Amino acid sequence: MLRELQEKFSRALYEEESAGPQARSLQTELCPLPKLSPGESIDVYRSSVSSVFEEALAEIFPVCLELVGEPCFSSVARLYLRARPSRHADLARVGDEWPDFVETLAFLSDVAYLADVGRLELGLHHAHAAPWPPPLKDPQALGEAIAGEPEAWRLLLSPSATLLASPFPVLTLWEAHQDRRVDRGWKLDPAAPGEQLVVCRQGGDIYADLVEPSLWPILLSIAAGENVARQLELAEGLRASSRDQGDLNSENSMPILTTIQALFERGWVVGGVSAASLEG
Amino acid sequence: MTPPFKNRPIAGAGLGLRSPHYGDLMAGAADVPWLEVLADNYAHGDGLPLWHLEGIRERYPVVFHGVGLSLGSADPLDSAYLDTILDLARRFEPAWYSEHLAWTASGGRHHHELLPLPFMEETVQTLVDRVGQVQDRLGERMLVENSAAYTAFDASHMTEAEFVGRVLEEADCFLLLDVNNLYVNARNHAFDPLDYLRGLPPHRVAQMHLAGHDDHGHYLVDAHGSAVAEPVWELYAEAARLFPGVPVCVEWDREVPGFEVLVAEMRRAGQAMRFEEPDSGKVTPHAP
Ligand SMILES: [Fe+2]
Repeated sequence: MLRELQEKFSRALYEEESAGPQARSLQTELCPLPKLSPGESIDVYRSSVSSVFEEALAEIFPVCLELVGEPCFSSVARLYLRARPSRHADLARVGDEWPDFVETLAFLSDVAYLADVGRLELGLHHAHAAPWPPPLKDPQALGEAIAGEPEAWRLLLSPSATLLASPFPVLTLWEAHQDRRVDRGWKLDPAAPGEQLVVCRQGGDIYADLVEPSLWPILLSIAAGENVARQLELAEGLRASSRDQGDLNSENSMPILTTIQALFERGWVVGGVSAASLEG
Repeated sequence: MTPPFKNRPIAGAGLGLRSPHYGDLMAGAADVPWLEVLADNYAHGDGLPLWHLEGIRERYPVVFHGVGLSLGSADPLDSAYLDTILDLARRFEPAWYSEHLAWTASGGRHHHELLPLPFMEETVQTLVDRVGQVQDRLGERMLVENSAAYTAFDASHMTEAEFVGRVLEEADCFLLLDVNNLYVNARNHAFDPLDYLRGLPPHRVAQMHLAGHDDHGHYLVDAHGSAVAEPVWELYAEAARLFPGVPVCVEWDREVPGFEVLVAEMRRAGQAMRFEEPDSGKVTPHAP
């Protein structure tokens, strides 16, 4: 009986309209309070559930909220909570499917960049509570070991890192909302090229950074768990192609060890594992 | 089994820990005797939230409070969630862990809202069974909190006070008496909150909550977004007289005010509690 009652109650919580068929069915199980009818009681819970979800989403996606405005954000939130039920007790995970969901909504097609701004904000949200990377005892020794046997090593991305390649300049857009340029008439240039970026936490700082095009395939290869030899190949290929394009400065543009060091310094890469250490 | 909870001194009036106040608390901006940690806020990973909690824990005794366990649900107990809470408890050693007499999930779908229970035999048995499972895992007894409810069920055949009393005795657990929830329910359901208080088993009351509510005219909502209302202070004075020395904390979750506002509420609670103490000035630790 308890189960049936809770199932009935659950269905009534997500009905679009007040006093819909699910609410009417639940009402037969409820008794009126002195000043609150069963229908009103159900509405108290319906609106409370929806505002809990909305507030949680607004906290994760503040720039997305600004982009579409509060009424639109609210109706998207209500559609989302009906379409993608929360399957986890942890409210912090409530936005995990939101960027994919907004991409499916035809009425948001004129804010096509919304999903990617959402992915950026979700990356920032998750970076906050992502695990700390394992401590790196001797970076120099690790660098030498990797250089000596690149096919045996894989680099580790930071547990807080999110990689995002967008056809839109989403980081530029997000930053224009952080420093309030949007309030001073800043507008997104529709012809501006897309951006590739990393969201990451280094120590206590959470940030999003643009990734230069030469580094992007290397980062993707690291994220895919490929070995350092593969990343050397990619670096070589990029060097060759920039030579073909007559880039005079290309000769030393991608020395892989310098690149790896830069990845460590930025906090995007936090360590390496060798085949031997995995076997051991 | 090693109990994850250590005996820590939780006494007097404390505060619900909220992230905007980390800085003030770490700087020791006021004399706060203990903190109630909303365990769910630290249950989704590691990183900065747990780093902050480490710092807080070095300075303050804490108790854990949860909202996501869905104790009153007909679903199987969410053991992954409970594991997370137990891991946190091992690491941060709260004096105790409390949850709500409510349900938040059904059929695997989470509503993230404390939903009402019918006061019937099946619900009592469900809660007794699930509190038992949690206590077995904890290796200690837990606290359950009376929740606000904005409806009543035809299936209920006992009063809320009887229902709470049955769960406490049969599950052999303790009560976190939320005085604001009691006031809200007394107003919405039109019963006498003093009768309710007098009917509670005093040896089971281990902690109290104070919070603000929203007044919607014909009904009240437990909203945690404002100062404790005067009638709730009056009811608390009676609760403090009936259950002397029981630690109390102030909850404020929405539109969280400046630290000093919360501290003023906490001090008022402490004064109200001591005023009712027979041996004033000396607060007896009252740990379950
Ligand atoms: Fe409470």
